[in-house]
Amino acid sequence: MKFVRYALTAAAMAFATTAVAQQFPAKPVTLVVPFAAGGSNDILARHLGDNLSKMWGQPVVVSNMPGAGAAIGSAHVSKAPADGYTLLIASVTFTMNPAVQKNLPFDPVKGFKPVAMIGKVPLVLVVGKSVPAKNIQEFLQTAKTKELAYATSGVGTVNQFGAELFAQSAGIKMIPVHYKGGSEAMTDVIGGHADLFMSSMTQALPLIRGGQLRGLVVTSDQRASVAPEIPTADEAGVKGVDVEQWWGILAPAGTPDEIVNKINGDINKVLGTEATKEFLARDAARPTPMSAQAFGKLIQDELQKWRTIAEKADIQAQ
Amino acid sequence: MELFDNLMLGFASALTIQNLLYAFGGCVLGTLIGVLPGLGPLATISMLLPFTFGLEPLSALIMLSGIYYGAAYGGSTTAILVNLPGETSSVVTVLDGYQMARQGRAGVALSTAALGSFFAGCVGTLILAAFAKPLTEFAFEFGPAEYFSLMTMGLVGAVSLASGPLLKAIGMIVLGLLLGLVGTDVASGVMRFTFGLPQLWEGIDFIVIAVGIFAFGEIIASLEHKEIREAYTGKITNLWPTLADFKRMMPAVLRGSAIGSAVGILPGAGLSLASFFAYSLEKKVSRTPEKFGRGAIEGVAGPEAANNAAAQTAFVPTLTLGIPGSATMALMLGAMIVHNIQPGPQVMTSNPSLFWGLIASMWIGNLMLVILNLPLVGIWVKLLTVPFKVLYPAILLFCCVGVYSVQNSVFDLFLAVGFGFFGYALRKLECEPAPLMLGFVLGPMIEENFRRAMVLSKGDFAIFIHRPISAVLLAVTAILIIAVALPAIRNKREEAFQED
Repeated sequence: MKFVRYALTAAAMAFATTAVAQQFPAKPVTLVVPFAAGGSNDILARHLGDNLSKMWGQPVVVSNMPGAGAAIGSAHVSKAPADGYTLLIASVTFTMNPAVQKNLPFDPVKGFKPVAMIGKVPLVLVVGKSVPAKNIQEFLQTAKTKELAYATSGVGTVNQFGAELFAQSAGIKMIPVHYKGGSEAMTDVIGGHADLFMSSMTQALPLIRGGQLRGLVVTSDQRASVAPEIPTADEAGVKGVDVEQWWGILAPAGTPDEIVNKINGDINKVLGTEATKEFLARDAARPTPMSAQAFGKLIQDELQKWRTIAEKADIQAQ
Repeated sequence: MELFDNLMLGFASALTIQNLLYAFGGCVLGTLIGVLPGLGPLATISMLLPFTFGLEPLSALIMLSGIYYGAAYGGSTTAILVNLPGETSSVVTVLDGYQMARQGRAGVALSTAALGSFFAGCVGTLILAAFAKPLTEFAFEFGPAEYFSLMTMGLVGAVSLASGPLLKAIGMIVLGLLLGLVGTDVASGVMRFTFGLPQLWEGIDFIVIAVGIFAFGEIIASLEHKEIREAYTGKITNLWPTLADFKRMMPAVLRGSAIGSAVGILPGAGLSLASFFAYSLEKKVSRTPEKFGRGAIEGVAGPEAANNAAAQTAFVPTLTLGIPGSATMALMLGAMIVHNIQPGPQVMTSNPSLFWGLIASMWIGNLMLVILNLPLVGIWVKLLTVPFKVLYPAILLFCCVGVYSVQNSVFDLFLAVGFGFFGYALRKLECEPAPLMLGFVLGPMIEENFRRAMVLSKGDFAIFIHRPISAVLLAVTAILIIAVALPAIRNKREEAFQED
């Protein structure tokens, strides 16, 4: 019986979806931000929501659902009806959490359907008072004579994964010092209490400009346009350090392909505008439009990559 | 003279009609949410943030910061009148403020809080304007070891928050420490006491516990009595402090301003810590410590001055470095980013009119607040005559809105109700909740910083003594312990005298 019902539903859906996609959206769309208002995810979601609602003629409501890292908001979307009317803005940590946390209240693979990639911003390795190194060679020298302590904004965050990936690639060993947030971590690196921080470019840039921190390498395959004087890790001789902060849009699993592709196309249109390029540039980020399938592949690859790194570096939480 | 020029520039930017209006709007709104228990500046600013996108950057920041320090102002009102802290920083104001109200001195307590806040706010702003740069450097000296020692000192001072038996106070502190353990352990990522509930992963929010224990607990307890408040609303003596009151409150305000300014600069500390420290100090230096908890005016003046000074100096790391000291400050930075101003060390030079305009607006705002609040004292006191059956449902409603607004979570509401019954039980057992709150705030900070210090020193305990600031703070802690232990022994003998 169940099978018959599924088959019938599937057939009906295949028939109906083309029409549905053309009409989409016929009612307001909710974009869930799994963090409190005011953060980078939130500001980005509001920008995207404004532009989409202009395009669609339907309001896009940004709904903040903070709590448990991003788990509460993510779990909410994974359980929402798979019709494209409830979307999630996720970031790179979405692919990192599963590597360190066994009991997430949602399944990062089976619970979601990737919709669109928004943009990327590289990390930058910054050092403060306690490490006099001016470039990465000097830094590696120091790291070999004493065990350096890298600050993180928590267990299993992008800062920790970035630092571990760097350490594994460079063949050095560093110990993590965990803080409750990026600001606390950064403050202690400036003060010379902790040695380095793998920071988002956004947060670090003003402090590099102000001379409180020194940026040694960036983690993307090309230099950041906002700070072209800082070499990539690759150029500086440390191969394989490929980690960037990114943001993307996910829908609940089972959302029809037609609707996913329609949203993907519309988001890519928004990403192509000068206004969005400028908006992302404020965060030192760049738009990286791609198809829903390519975004899905990226998520798969990253989930695997961070799992491997977590095992090697023994990053885990019970 | 450079400072003078800068301030002139600041006042020129802040004294436009438009900016004055936004400052006024922010102050009024801040006072309002300060008065309403549970509803705090964090939730209010995050709700209003999207509406400020269309404003001039300076106007937006002036209004948002007005909400922030206005809330620190208004928080004392409900604390004094109905025994509910309107803001987390006014938890200690409850201790003596409410007692003063019971003695018919609600007006005096309110105007003391307003005048103390005004003075401290001005001092804090002056410090911010004149010494922002060197103070930032000083704040960097505080690493994990220093924070650990500072928080430990605070924890020992917490004992003085209780006016009852020492053992109960220590018990409440320990209970607070245990509640602070709930959530994800920062150092290892391990979940503690979360019972498989994702809602507890980030721990319990301060507002949930404070509203539960203080507001809900108080309301449940009051259901037992029949309108006893008439008894002391009838004997309101005077609204304004007498000369004798001034003599007692001025030194407290001065000390509170100093402590608040210092604590506010440290990004890891926060407003509530400033008022906790100020209260402990007032009780320590007082010649009549037994009056604390029974309506001592110093117990209102000191902490209220401290939290307002801290509200001002908390802008130091935010403005000079773009590093927020608290979640609310992070939102202020978010507002800057939205307006295309990159927060960081360059703001002072690249946007001088914004930087100095904001500082100038704080003086103007503080003046507005005192003008706004003093005439209101009479009206607030009248609130005491509103019958319970009208007042308490209204308070309950606002508390629920406030608790919900923290995380948009219904779970938090149920949790607060649970803490309400817990708070009622504490009242029945005559255990004071203030030490519990301090344990709850300080516990996680002590643990995190201790473990950080240990990682950084590779397990060498000597780090706490080798670093001079830390060593001094620990020495003061040791002295405090002795000072607490001695009177405790002496009090045993004097207990008989106090039972009159």
